[in-house]
Amino acid sequence: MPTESATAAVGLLASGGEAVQEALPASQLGSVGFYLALFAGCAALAAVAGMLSSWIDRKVTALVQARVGPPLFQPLWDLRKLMTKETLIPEGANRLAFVLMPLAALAAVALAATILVGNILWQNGLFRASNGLCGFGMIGDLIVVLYLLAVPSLALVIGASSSNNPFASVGASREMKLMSYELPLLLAVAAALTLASVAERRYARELQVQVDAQVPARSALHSVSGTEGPVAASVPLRFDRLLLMRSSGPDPAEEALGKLGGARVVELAGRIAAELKAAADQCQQWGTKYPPRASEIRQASKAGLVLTKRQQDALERGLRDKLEGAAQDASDQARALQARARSALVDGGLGRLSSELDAVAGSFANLAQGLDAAAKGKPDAESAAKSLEDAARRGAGLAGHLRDMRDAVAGDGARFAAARVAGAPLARAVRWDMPGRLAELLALALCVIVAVMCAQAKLGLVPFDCAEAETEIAGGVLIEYGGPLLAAWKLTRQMLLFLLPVFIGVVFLGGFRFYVPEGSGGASAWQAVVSVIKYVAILVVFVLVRNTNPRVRIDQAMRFFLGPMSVLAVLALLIAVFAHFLLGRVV
Amino acid sequence: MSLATKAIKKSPWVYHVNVGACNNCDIEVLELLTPRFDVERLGVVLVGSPRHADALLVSGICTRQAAPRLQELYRSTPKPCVVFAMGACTITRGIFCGGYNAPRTVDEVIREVDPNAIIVYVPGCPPKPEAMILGVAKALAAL
Amino acid sequence: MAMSLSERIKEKLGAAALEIDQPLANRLYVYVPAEQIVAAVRGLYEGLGARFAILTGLESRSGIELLYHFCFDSEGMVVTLKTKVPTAFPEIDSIGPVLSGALWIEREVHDLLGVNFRGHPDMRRLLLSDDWPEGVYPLRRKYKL
Repeated sequence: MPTESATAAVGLLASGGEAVQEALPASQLGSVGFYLALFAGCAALAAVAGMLSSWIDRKVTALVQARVGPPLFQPLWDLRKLMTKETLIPEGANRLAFVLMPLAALAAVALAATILVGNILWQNGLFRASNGLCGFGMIGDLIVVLYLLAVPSLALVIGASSSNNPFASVGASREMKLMSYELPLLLAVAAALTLASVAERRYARELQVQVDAQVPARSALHSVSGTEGPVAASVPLRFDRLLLMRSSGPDPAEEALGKLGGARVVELAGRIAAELKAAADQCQQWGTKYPPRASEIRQASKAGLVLTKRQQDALERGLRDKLEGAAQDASDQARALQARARSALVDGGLGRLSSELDAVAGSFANLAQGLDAAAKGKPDAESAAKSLEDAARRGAGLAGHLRDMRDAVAGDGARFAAARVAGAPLARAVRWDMPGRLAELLALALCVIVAVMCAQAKLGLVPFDCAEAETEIAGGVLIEYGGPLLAAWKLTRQMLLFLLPVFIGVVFLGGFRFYVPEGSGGASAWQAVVSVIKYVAILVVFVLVRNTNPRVRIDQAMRFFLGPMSVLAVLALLIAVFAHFLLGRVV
Repeated sequence: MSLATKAIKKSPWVYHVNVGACNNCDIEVLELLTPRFDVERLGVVLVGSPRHADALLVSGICTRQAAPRLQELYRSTPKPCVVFAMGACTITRGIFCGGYNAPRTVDEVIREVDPNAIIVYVPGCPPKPEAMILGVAKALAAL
Repeated sequence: MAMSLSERIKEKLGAAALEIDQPLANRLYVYVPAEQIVAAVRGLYEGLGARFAILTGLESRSGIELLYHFCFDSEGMVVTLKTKVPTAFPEIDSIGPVLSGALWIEREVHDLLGVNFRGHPDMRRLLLSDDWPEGVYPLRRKYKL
């Protein structure tokens, strides 16, 4: 299931990278240069995407007004023109604050961009560590992202207050009051986190997940990133950690493994590896202890194989090498088996795990055959051949053993599911599944509505643009800014216009999936299209709301956010907790 | 300077100033933003503050009271900037030439502050929107 | 029997109306001495219910003429009260007490023609710019542009 690979965007965000530190050796974290390059790259990407989004905004506005609208590169020309103008600082203004604020806002948004874009990259498979979490330290906390996204508004207030202009002061006071949209936004995010922890527990404990994984495209709804999104806030989410401020928690992979008896799998894999290695070592020993006898050499030469001393040595060495190679192979495979078992479990559930084990069993069988052939190809060194046969048999036996193990796990799952259906205490979870999912979807729909309205205010778009009311207070907060500083403000706004739909998509709609590793179900191209549609849809909603509403007064805006929007957000939170109880009732 | 003026060509942001007009020119300027003429496709945006502007669209005869204000606005606009004198009133004071309340024309007032100001004259009473767009286009091309 | 407007005005204004002239069917000019302007205005406004339209003025050879225009909308007639004040001492009573809507136009006439309206509560500059010199009246004949 694609989205369980935990778009953990939220999960990762909320877990704040602590699990990262626990799980990784320092060498994997990357160098300073890498981080700087990543920051610059993500900031540049956000800037370009922001300019594109700004163009989409102006173009859709123009089309709504039956106009043609600006050309594609207009935002770029605007910024370029602003950079070439002179910088005027008003007399009596606080120079430091005036100049610093746009740059501070830009820096905060660039950092938020890095975190969010890094998250999307992680969701699509980059930067993974062996335990499935993030393999590099640039993933930030959800709280950090919320804070960074609020910095531009604060910088606007301070910059406007330092402008020494009465219009700017009016705009600043309005912007301060407008920041009451943070309340419903935080409540909505809290609701999403609640749902995430629900989904996590369900995912970890409900073995029905295994059935789901077997049927990847059960319904268009479920295999496409996004509508399964709600479930995917299946972030190995540390919501409880967030609430209780626990500094460390169990590794989700271990938890999952423990609950599923997968510890057995890993342990067994380890034992297999050890046994294989022992067998290979023994073969090697025999190879060195028993060089080919003279009679055998004569037999071989009679059979047409003339072996010089050199050739004999070579054969001996070849046998030894082959055995060594086989031993190395075996231990490598065993280690790989362990790692893949863990990641398969975290990534794709039991179904994926069993298919992985199948593959491994197959390769063990091949190994066994290979050893067999090696043994047959060496007419001398009979005991070596015998030991190789032994190893081959053991390999075949192991393959069978692995298959048994996979069946046992599958059987376990089936039994578990059967027990649930048969009315064990868990049966209620099964019966309440559908209403639980509906409650989940309802809560998320409310959250999205609240988040879109709050984002509209954060971006300073009509109907909430009273802080920068052009015709009312002559430009409001930005009245004294011109030239490169104004370019910084415009770029900040444009990057926010890119980041806020991304934020909403990541937290509430399951993130943006462009690449799906094989075996998880769902076509890669379709996922990519849906992700793009998600982003553009939220952006277009912003633009349409902007074009169909008049500007509201600041007291009306405050009443709107602290009234209906907060009520909706609290309702979403309550429904999320309710869904938690409906869906979370598992063992 | 040439790089800057080149940059203005693609994205001229205008700030409208009325220094004593009868509002006819103002209405025509507003019409430029409507779907029929749509100057936004040329990159023109009507801004709310002179500090954001590249071009001042001046209309009116520039009365004695308004003259120092116009000079202050011109000084507030970050250079490089262009002044568009819209309408007969701004060029020669039109039918109010010789009146007691407009001793100087707009370009005299602005050249007091900046002798090298770039001033573009768009005649008409009021100039048609097509004439205004032509004026803007010619000015930007000549920059 | 309905009286014609000029007869009604003559009746209402009495001594204040020196002469009534009707050059056109819908225009009446009533010549009023300067001292009795308030009484005349009161007669037209309160007595006959006219609507005060505007006050205009000009400087002629014999003095500054002030014209108070009243409209009788129901009858489609415009009645003008003409007074004259000497150019050397241009003073006249303000009709502000009767018509508060006339206060601003009296300020304008004061600015441009220099007529002093006695009893005006708020004689500030209305039209001319802040740096216009005192005592210079642009609509006077001797003002050169």
